[in-house]
Amino acid sequence: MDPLSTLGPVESESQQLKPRVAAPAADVAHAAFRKDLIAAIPKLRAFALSLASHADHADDLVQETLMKAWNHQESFQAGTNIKAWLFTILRNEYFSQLRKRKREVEDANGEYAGSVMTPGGQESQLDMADLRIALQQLPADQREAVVLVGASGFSYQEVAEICAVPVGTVKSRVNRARNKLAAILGVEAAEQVAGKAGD
Amino acid sequence: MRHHFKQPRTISSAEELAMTNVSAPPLDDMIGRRLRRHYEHLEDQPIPDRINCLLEALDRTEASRERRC
Repeated sequence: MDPLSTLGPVESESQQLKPRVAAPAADVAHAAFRKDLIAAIPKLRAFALSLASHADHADDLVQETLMKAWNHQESFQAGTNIKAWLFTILRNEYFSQLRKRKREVEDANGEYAGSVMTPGGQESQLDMADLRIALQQLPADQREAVVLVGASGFSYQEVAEICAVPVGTVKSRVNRARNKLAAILGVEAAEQVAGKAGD
Repeated sequence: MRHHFKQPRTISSAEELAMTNVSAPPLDDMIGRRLRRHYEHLEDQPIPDRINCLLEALDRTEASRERRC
């Protein structure tokens, strides 16, 4: 079973912070844990924003993940990959909610695309908006896999551990996601055109 | 109840076969570059107030704990 996936309902976790049991010998480890937790927030939030179709939902996921991590920090093995541990908690929470609610909707109209500020030039804004819309058209498991492998910096093996599936399944999901994104964005055609133009 | 992030396990022969048969998408193409650019942009977004408030609550909890010690 994945980490923390069997914990109680979302509401119960968020309602209160559990004071950590005093243990002077663990203070150094706790300080390191807290520092790593804070440092991971931007990456954790980027992952949540990639999974969820709305920024508010993404922040709910981040908040719940931080609460669970804080309340169960004794279960984290110092020296192991805290980023992978946190991502696992977050994706378990996401898919748990998805199963419970069964109402995650596609964002084909670009509502989410407009909810995240995009700096840069017009071309950059259009590129990012297109990519966000395209990501939301993927099945959740493929979206998760392509983001973790393609952008979050995890290896296939690490993603297999995070998602609790075989490495081959991760590769297959990434491959299918990549092909769908390319088709939606028309990247293949553009690259082929560019290649021919360079001949 | 204790929960642990599982350590990487040994890859089975079936998985090795799958890794061989499934062409590994390098993601060093345009899709990969756009994904990474998009992700880096998301990482640069300001942390919302409610997340910062949660961190402050964690700090208060910690300070309260230390006062009791």
